[in-house]
Amino acid sequence: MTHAIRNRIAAGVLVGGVLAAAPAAAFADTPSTAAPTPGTPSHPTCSQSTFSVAQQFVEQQLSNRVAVLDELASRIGAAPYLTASDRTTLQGIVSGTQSGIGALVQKVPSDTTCAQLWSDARSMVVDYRVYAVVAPQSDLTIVADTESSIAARLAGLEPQIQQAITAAQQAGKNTSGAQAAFDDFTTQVSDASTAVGGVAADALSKKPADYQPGMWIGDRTDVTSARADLHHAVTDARTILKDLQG
Amino acid sequence: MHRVRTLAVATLALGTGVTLAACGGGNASSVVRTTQPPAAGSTGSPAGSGSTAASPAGPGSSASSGFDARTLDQIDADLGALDNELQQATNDLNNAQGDS
Repeated sequence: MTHAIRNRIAAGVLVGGVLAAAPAAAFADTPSTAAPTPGTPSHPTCSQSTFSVAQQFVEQQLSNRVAVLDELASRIGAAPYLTASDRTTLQGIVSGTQSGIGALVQKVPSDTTCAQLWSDARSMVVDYRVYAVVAPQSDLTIVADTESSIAARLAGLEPQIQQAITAAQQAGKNTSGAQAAFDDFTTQVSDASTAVGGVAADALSKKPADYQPGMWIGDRTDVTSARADLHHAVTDARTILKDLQG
Repeated sequence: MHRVRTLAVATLALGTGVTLAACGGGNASSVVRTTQPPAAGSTGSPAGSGSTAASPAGPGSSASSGFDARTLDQIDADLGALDNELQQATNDLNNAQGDS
């Protein structure tokens, strides 16, 4: 992913620099009402003299997105804890986005006017939202399914842990520490399951048209919280194991 | 001939020893029930994990499911991978190039 991030940083520099005025305005997700009407002469950095530079910029932006999508497809295919249905859904999203971006990759080199280029650049951003929607929804779904899997496995240990504590107690061992850790363990696992419960479904339901700033904050907060809960639960389990074996 | 008989006895003894070792022994005194976790890092449904519940995580889940150090090590490893994924998500969100 390092190269992808590098690409994004490089693209960001470009957006902020050389061609900030024209394509960046197209990349900005202003509502369609605020977008300039294609064909109007107000494309400050896409004029006859700068057209080829602007075209190369858009081509590079498309190429960056192709790389990101390829990497997402690879990660989605390899993620061990994605549920089958979520994997299928994500693969469909990424595949559809690859098709759309791929069509633009074919089209942009043949654009001959700023209006065409503007339209394609805008489509690249607004229709597909590779960075702002597709990548985060893939990441968050992978994370959420991984957390759900771990939480389920930890929950599956609960009867065994309780049985081990009971057996140790019956054998005359002081199990107060283990029992306290187990009580916390069950709380942490339950909290993790609750936190991550709806994240994958929510992430997968998002479309490029749903984009708005901060749209991932809730899901990200939930998976971060679940992660902390799961780490605590494993620490509790190790405490129990140590107490019972000590 | 005596040498052949000695060799046969030695082979039998060795075979018995190997068999006993393969059956495994010891740790019977452990309070914590042990199961047969698969090799660490493996994925897939637990095969023959016997006394423990099958992993409810579905296909692709790690296999070990007994309450023992190996299971916790395996879950720890998965948490490590999770941390990497979460970091990836953070990176992607932080490098989302605004709204694009």
